[in-house]
Amino acid sequence: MGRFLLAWVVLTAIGSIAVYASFRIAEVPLPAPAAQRWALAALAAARAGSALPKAPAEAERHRTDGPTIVIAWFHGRVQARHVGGPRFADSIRRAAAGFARDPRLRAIPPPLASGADPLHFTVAVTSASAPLIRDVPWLSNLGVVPMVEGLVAELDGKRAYLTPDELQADGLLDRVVTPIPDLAFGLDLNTAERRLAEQLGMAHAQLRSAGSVRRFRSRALLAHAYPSGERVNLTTLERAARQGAEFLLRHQHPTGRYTYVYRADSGQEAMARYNLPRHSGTTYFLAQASRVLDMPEARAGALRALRFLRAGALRRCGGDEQLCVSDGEIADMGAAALTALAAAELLRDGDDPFVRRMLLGLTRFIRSMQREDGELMHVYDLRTDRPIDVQKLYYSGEAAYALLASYRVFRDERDLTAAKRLMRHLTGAGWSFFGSRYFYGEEHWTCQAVSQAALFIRGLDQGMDFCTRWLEFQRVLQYGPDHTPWPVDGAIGVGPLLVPRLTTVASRTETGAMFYPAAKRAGQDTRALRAQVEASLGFLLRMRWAPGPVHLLFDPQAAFGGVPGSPTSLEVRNDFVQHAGSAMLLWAEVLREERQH
Amino acid sequence: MARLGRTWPMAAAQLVVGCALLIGIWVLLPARVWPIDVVGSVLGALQLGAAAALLRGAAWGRRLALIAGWATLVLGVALVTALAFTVAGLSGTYGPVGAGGALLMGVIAALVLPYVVLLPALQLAWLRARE
Repeated sequence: MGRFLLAWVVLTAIGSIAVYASFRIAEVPLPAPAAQRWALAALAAARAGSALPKAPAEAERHRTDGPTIVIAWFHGRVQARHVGGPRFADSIRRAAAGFARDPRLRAIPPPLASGADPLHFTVAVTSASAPLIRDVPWLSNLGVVPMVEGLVAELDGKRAYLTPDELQADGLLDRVVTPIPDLAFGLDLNTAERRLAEQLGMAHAQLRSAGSVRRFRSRALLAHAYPSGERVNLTTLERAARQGAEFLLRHQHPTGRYTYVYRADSGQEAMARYNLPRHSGTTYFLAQASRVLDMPEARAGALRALRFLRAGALRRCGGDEQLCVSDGEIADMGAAALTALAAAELLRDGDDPFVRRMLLGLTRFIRSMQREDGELMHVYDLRTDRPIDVQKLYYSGEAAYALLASYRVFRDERDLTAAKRLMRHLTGAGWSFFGSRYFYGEEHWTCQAVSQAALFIRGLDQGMDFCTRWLEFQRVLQYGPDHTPWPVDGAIGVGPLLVPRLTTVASRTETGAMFYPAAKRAGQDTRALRAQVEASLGFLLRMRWAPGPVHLLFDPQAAFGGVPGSPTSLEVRNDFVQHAGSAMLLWAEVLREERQH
Repeated sequence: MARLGRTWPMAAAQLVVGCALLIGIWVLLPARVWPIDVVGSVLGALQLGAAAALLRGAAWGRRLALIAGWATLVLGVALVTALAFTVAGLSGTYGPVGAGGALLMGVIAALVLPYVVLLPALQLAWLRARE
């Protein structure tokens, strides 16, 4: 028995090493910078109908293990492609010659007066290929590393390729949906194989039965680097937040309603049920941008958004002077709290009678929903005119923050008392169970409330301790350089199989940036928190669209300033911009304060 | 009774493994995947049958316990090997699995290894020692 087990352990270890070695693909070396510049200049010259510049020696010398694939993109779609060989310079010259003759490319309008060209070129330098698991559910979906790997199919000596950019443009990434909201992963391998079969001019079934499909690594040369190389400082943060606000205003309807989900691959709004809490959260960010960046157009946009609520969603809940927000028969605490927060933020930047009345009515409603133990009831049934004692994610933290923001404006002790009772529940009894020191929930709003409360309340030890631990927990989950296959250091995640989400990072950074001054005032060592916040802000700056992956965007100018859901996503939901923009503005305020002192 | 005195620790262990397999498959697993359900249930039934036979002192009890032990051990080592190859393949594809991935794999190994490899190996060694 002992010999059997020993043999098994040894064979499994040797087999694992062999599997690892066969699946691993080494990093693809990029051509030298001079060769990269030449390649893009040569393609631009072909587009302009002028002679190609002479290739530098670095370009002539460069060889790749796989082909060099040159693609011409227009409105986010592939217009023409050239699959070259391992000789980099030859591949570029042949692609340029082919593109110059291509009637579809010649029909594309010339560059605008601003110099922006609607036609974009990408050059993918690729590696040798490696195996792909095709028939094991889940594993086959995880078999291709998003944004890094493409697919090559081969049958009877013919080959077809899909680059990582093409997989993203076709919407084939993040296609395995999970029960967790907003969480999806993995490649739609079936559709990818169909695309490859089309390229080969055969049926999908024929490719599956007789052909091979393997993975390859690829790195793209782009005219506009994405992710960008932006670094964190006061100027970049303020500029990014301003451009985020401009994105939201550009896509706001005249009624004050925002574009909820902007699809950058089509330039259209996605079909999705409108979300009132996120409408109000977005309005909060515009009000914040107005105050911090001196943007009157952002204030006007925020006021339009509140009027949109007044026109169709502001209701009376439990009394003539108690206002709630609902577009149906049920009103929830989230929409009321975030609307109150937006109103309070607007009033910090200047009075407005309508906004003042709205805030007073909303905080009356929030206070009326408080239970004896401090917790809030989160739902109000407008049909029976009664509260329903259920609790939903985020809402209590949002309400605590809203009450404190209102107190900051009106100094109404009832708001402060209600917020204190609510926070005592959230950070004490509400999070006390066996193992509660090892696991935390979505507490970014709670800890923003604690940070806000620290301005007014002494003896917040319980809340400060809770939020310090919560942020330490987030720090454990934060990626450093080379922790994943992607350039996502500063992001937060639980392993490299899932591409990190920007909103997860942004909401935690928002909280960290707001908590930092409170922690500093409390005498904590804040060096680790500062590094954590700045690493995350660096990630957000690099990943936002300024201009972003222009070749994948239908209209790069319309998408400018947007913040996608993840590096693989071509969708911008309004709260993605809100959380990232708020985080940037909060840290900009910290940096301004430090500069002044 | 003397016979029961010699065999009851092993029978009790088999009872625990059999119940754990059946409860795990039919109560805890969130989805029905018939190869897992059928193979796991057969193993669970074998373990329970062997436990009952050993406790009753049936003549064929030892043979059934040997079959149950070998079946569990062979499938257990295959499962652990498949998990190891999966981790190796994903690590080769993505690079290091990171702290979260390592923790997850460690938890799976800690949950699976004692019941489907170590316990059957002990069971078989014990049965052979009493030949």
